Amino acid sequence: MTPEEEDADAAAEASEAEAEPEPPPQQRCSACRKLFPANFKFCPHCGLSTKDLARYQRERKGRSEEAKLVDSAWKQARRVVFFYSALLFCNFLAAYILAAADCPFVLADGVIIVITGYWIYKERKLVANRLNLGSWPLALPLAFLAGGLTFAFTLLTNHIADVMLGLSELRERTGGTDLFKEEAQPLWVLVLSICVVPGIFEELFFRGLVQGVLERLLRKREAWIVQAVIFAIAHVNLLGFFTYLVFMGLWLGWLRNRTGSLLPGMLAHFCHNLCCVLADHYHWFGQ
Amino acid sequence: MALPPKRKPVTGLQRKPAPPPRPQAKAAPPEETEELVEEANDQAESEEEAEPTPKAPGAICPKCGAEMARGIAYCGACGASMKTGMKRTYKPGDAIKRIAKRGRMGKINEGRNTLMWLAILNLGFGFLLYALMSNGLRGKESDALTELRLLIVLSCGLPGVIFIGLFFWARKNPLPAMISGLVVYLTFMILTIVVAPESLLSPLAMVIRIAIILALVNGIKGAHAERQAQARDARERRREKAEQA
Repeated sequence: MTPEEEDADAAAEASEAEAEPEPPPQQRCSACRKLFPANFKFCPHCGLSTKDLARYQRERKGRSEEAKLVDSAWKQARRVVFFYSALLFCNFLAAYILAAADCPFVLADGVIIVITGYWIYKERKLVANRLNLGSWPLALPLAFLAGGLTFAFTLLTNHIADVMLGLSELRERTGGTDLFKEEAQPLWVLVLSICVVPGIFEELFFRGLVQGVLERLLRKREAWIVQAVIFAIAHVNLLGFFTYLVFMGLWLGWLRNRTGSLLPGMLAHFCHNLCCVLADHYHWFGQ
Repeated sequence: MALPPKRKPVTGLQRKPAPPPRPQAKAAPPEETEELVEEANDQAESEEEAEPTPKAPGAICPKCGAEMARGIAYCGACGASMKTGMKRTYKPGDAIKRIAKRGRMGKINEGRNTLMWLAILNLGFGFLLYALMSNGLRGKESDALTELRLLIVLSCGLPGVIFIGLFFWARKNPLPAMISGLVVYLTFMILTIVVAPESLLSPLAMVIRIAIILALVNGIKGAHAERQAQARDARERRREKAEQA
């Protein structure tokens, strides 16, 4: 059928429709959302062919390529959301239920070890590639420097919050650590449960798994920022979120990107936490 | 290559008078055709409030001769422009792409607006709570007031500020901002559930929570699909250029 014949047929159909006394049934153009008679082959408002629109409706009913893409995206984000929620929920539960008991550290640390371990088991490749000591002459001093700098930054921002903004009460109340009754614990328990285990497993969780999975979904720089936000909000220290936690996450993520390994980040995180624990325990800066 | 021009949102309120009829330009040279089609589209935009009334004949399609209602931009039978007689130059997938894009933008807007609503709810509720309770505590000891201030700043003020920041980030770059927003919201939700498990029993609270989470998830899906589609379009454009060269 030549185009002219097609057009003539269509014109005949259209004139037939116009001869009918009742108003013809209407259809809605999916592109411009305007109503037009059902027998038209083209939308009179935007000139689109109804064939195109019908094909779109068919594709939308079936599993179109785009729908599959969307699902794969959500599968990646879902892992992050699921494991993060599980970690947070179990940790809070452990802390709140056993706050009255002598030592909730065991449970809280156990939770992070079990959940991170399970996720690592599922995503072995993500972490295995990043446990090398590739360029250690660069990484080792950088890690110590990073730990010291982060601690100094924490002190500085806390000082600013306390002295300049007068938020010392708010800061003490919002720190999550008073749940753990630090004064009652011997030093080695504090070091093990605040420095060693979080130093290793928080790095594995946030820099290894969360950032690695997010990099499949986002650009590298965005994944870096998002993991810093997740890392900061997971500490449930709201004033800390605005002062030092986001920057700490960015700093540790930068270390991981720069050296290609998680070990310097672990070392830096350990140094920072150790400084905080020692400063608290020996009252370096007064009460 | 003629991409479909952007259409104005249809409000259905303003009703402009129809512009004077233009002389027919059937035998337009191909360079001018696109311009004419664009002009016809612009005219169609101003006229699109007028419903097509098949009863009032007035225009005859310059291409196929079908009788069409006045104020129609394209012939319903052959798809040619009523002004120029030329078909609108669409590539086969363009309509589908446009419709799909509208769906994606709707989802992104849904997620973004959820972030703004979260901010408004947090700040507004905090303000209301503060006003009501400080009224009730007037004349009592000031410790209770300090405690109250702390509680409200913690539970409403700071989350509100975070959500405002995320909303403005989502206007620039929706995907990472909405993933962060979902994680932040989940943190506060889990905190609430652990501290006050009785909130699980309130059906209204659960419905609101589920709706917020679903809206954010939809936004993430839409934003990711939009990003993939942009990458695909860029690929196609590059391939076209390579073929032309």
